[in-house]
Amino acid sequence: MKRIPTSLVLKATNEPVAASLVEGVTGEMLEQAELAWAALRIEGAKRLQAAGREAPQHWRWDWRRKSAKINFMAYRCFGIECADEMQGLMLVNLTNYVSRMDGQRGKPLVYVDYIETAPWNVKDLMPEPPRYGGVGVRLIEAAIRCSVDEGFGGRLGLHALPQAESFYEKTCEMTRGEIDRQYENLFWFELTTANAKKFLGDKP
Amino acid sequence: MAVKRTMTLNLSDEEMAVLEDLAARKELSKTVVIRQALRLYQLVDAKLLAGEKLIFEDEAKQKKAELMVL
Repeated sequence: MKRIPTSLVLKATNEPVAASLVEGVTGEMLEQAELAWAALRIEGAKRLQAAGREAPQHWRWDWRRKSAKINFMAYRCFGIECADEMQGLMLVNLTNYVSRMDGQRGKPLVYVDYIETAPWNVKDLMPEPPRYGGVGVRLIEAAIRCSVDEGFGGRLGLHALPQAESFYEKTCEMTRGEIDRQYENLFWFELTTANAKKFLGDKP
Repeated sequence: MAVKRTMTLNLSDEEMAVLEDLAARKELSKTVVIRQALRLYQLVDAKLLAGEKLIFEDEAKQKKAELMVL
């Protein structure tokens, strides 16, 4: 497990704040994060539903159920820590998926299996305003750097939950692929090598 | 990234040709191809040990084949 200095944005002041990117998140860390997040995620989802609003589509996730995967070399788990708390988690797969896009079809990529920001950073999920911004961007940045380190040219792929499509398309400049009938009818999104370079070039 | 250890790998001409072909087609180094193969083998082996099967499907030809792995 390794911690690399990074930064988030403290929403209250809109100022950068020191954080750590954790490479090689352990099962114990997943357990702790899930214990801290689970109740807030469920309460927030119920609150939104009661108000006639859409709950986050990932509200039934449980990171403890994903911990078996981190024992395999095919998976990597990343986290963002700030103020002694896990602010976001991401599990990527290095072997099971290849590019589906013309121009890079069949080439290996880093597949983002799961990515989640802590409930207190999700807009409207909690009664209070979100605490930190930039968690998703930092995690996607880590996935791109992992792809570069692995020799995959920064290529990423993922199946996007509908609520997250805009983030992947607009913020990450991923390309929308076809709907995947064999994967919960979610759209496939992919980041090209060119857009990966652009993404990293835009980041400090 | 984890600390790397070096080893020498002796391959036949045929094995090297396959490795070089895969590396060229996937635009990967030969080291990365071997690393990917090892990751996949570990994953497949664990699934098979757990009683699962590895199946290839050709939807167009409506064909399924189980792959036996050593």
